[in-house]
Amino acid sequence: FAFSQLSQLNQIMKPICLLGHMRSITQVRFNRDGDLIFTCAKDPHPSIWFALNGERLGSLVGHNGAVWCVDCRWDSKKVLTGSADNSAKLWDTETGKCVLSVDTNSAVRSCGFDFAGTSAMLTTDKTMGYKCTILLYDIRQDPAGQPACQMLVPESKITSAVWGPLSRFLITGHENGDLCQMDVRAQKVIRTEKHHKGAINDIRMYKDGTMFVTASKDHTARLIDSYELQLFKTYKTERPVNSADISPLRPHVLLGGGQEAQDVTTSGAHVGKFDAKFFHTVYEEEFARVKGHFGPINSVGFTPDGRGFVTGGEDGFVRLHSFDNDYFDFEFE
Amino acid sequence: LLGDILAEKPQEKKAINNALVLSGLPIVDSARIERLQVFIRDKFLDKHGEVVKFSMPTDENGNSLGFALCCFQTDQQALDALTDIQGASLDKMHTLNVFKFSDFNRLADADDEWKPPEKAPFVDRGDLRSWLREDRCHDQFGVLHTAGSVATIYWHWPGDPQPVDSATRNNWTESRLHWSPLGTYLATYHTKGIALWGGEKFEQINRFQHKNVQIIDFSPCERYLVTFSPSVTKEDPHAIKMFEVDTGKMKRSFLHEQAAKWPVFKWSHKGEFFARVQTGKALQVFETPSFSLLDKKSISVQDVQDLSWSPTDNILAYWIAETDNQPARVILMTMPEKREVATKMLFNVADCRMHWHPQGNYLCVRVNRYTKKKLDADNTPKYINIYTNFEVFRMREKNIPVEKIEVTDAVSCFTWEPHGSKFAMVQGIASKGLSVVFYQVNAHDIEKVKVLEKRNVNTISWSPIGQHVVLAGLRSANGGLEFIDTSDMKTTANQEHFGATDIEWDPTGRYVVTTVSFWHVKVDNASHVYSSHGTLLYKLNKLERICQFAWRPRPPTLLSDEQIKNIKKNMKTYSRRFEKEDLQSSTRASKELLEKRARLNTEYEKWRAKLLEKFRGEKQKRLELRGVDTDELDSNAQDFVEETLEFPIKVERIRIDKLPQVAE
Repeated sequence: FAFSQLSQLNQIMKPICLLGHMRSITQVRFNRDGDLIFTCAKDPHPSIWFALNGERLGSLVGHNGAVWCVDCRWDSKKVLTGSADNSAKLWDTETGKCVLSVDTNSAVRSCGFDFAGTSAMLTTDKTMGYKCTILLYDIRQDPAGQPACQMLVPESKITSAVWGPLSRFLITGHENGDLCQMDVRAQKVIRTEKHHKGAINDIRMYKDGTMFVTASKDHTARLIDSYELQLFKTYKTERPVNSADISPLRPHVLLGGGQEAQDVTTSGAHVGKFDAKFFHTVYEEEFARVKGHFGPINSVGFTPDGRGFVTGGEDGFVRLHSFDNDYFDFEFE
Repeated sequence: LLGDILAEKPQEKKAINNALVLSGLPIVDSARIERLQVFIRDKFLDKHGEVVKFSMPTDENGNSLGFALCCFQTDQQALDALTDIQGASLDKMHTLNVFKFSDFNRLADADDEWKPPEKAPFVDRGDLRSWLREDRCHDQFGVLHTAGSVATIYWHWPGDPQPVDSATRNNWTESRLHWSPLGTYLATYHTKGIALWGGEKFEQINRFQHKNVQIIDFSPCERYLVTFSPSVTKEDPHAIKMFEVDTGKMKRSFLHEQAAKWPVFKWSHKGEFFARVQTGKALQVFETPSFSLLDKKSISVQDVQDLSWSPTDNILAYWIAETDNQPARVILMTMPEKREVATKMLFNVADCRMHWHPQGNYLCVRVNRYTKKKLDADNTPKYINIYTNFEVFRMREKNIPVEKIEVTDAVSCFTWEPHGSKFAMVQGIASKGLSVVFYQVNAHDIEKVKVLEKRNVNTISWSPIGQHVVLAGLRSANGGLEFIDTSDMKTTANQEHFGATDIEWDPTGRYVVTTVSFWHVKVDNASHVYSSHGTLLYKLNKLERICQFAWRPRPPTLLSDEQIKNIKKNMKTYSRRFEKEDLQSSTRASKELLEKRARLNTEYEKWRAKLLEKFRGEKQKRLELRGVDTDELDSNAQDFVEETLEFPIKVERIRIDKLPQVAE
């Protein structure tokens, strides 16, 4: 069994620590080329960094509340952010200027550009009498706050959402563990599957969009296909999983998580508890852990070339790691 | 609903439930009938309550007929009397046979013609000991997980425990799992009672009805099951029931009102007797299979406090509290002869606790003694300056000599070494630092062999075969584990299982398992398996919310001590054979693992191939949507722009006047 293989992976090059946020990190994302890192946190200023050396390009000023989500368009020219200040903003990456802003009825929980980069999807929280809603905006011109279409989500609210292949539908993860395919333009739920027993905290697409990994409060992450939502693999841990990503280069899945914030003091202040866990995609076995965070890990991501990974934690730190040569040669016997 | 309300309607009291018939009385003439009546009332009846009516019918000559009728004021009193005096002997020739008057109706209604009872079909239970014949003598263990809703029995193949076929069941038990003492049965709790499971496939062996059963106990021979439930009703006031495991029949039930520690009834080692204390009054020793009092009467012992059986002999130890004119005493008595084999007088005793050595070689009585005694306002004694004495009875020596050890510190966690002659305890109070002290019982003295200071320990767990011990700080004490080999008192390992709530050795003494139970802590529920020397072997953490980990016990070995000594002598030859087998099985395991992985890989490739087909089919659409090919990172390499970025790597400050002189 694989515990002996742990030691091999502990010689990873020293990570670059990005210190730009005063509050817990909510999401970290790369652009498609992998040279920029986008981080957002519970403070109102998301930041953009160079992945090469961790130097900060700048921060996006405009929001008034926690920023829950960030996405970069495929051509890296535009950035989309969604915030708890009931707004979503579109920014120009190079200048950091806010080019569009839409107001919503409640906090924006997830956001994303579609495949072509011409539409933006937002999902809002269920609060203050407003139901959880999916909103689609055409961003080729100023929508003046009018969504091209919207869809109400009646029961369990959406906790994470991504576009499906070719952006024909949205794949949404819900608080009760449901996974749905939503065709917002046709206003219908194409299919629903229940693979998880707890809220789905994060959904990340594989590089080709054919499959994705879900991270859930029920201590597991699962590998699921995008077309039929068929469950293929399950990765089990002892703690709630906040985020997961699939390596574009090797058959590895990265999980980040930790316990509920209020439980932090009840367990020992072991630095090791807050670690990023690596699983083999096919064998579902954990083979490595990378320590370093002082609090639960909220968001993880592989670099688009698979040569490193980034983790953002409850402690406000973003750690950018590069794999050393052993990682690429490492095989299960 | 209406039916429920009607049932609660106050019923007219039928005055037969408080009436008893006493038969088996001697037949006396009219002259002595008066005396007989007084005698019966005094000796048997008055102490149970107020006798409202009493009559001893006579024949035409005035002679008694051999029975009497009595009515108590309440049903409860009648029941108490029944339990107490049933089977009591009056004299050599007369034994009291008591039954409820209400039973008459039942007998009167019985059929006139005797119908032979139906033959119960033979149920083949299969081999209940099948698990012992596993090839490599691996043990089984049961795990209650998923917050108690799923229970699974595993084969303990080190590093890779495998669930037993058809032994993962949802809602198998409603509270906990309980193995019988020799491991033959698994008992599960349900609102209606207890169910026993066993055999290769864990089929249901029997069911025992006891509503809201809370806790159970087995006789050491596994023939009998004792259950306790706090839900008593008027129709069924008996809180404790005893069942015969094989037949499922209830053999006897008992009332239980006083607060007491479980088990209330303690069993002798072969299950021939069970006994309980009637605090301050008597010992009640019952025998099986009749389930009636030994010699038909209790053993009256004034001020008796507690009893305890030897785990290997039919010897009952009990202690008597100190009174104003008599010191406390510990008495050892054989059963069924009731012969006293040892007595020890103890002075200035506040409390006693009895600890038997697991092989019955010694009995240690922990005596809390005081230097001064005061009486409170309501006459409860208050003890000043308590110190502890340990009186060790050497059971295997002639006349059972007793030796004393005195300890001034507070003491807890007294434990004997199984199959050995050591004992250990925790001394001290938490604020000043606890120590663990080991003693050795030698031929002529008891020696303090080792004191381990400053140990945050609240549990001492010995291996069931002796020699190895784990000092653990469970629950709030951070889960520190110290593994000690007591043959040289060296610590073999120091481990930590943060938050561990339970610790258990396997029945062979090879493994120790510590568990963080979901019942106490809601996060990090897992079981860690260590070797007897303290090496962490593996963690059982893939099961969610583990509540309970329980090894399946084994019946005692059939080998004699002589045979065991021989095996230990020839260990080298035996271990060579096992090492070869281990090597074979590990290569076999890795071969199996490789095959399994190859299979998983092919499945995965197939799945991915289907998805990739769809992906490729959509390529045209993707080109349309973005205008460029972005399928791979370098798909649009022609669009790449080369950019040169300059970053300072090192900045150096040099003072101008320190520059080397340039030659003119």
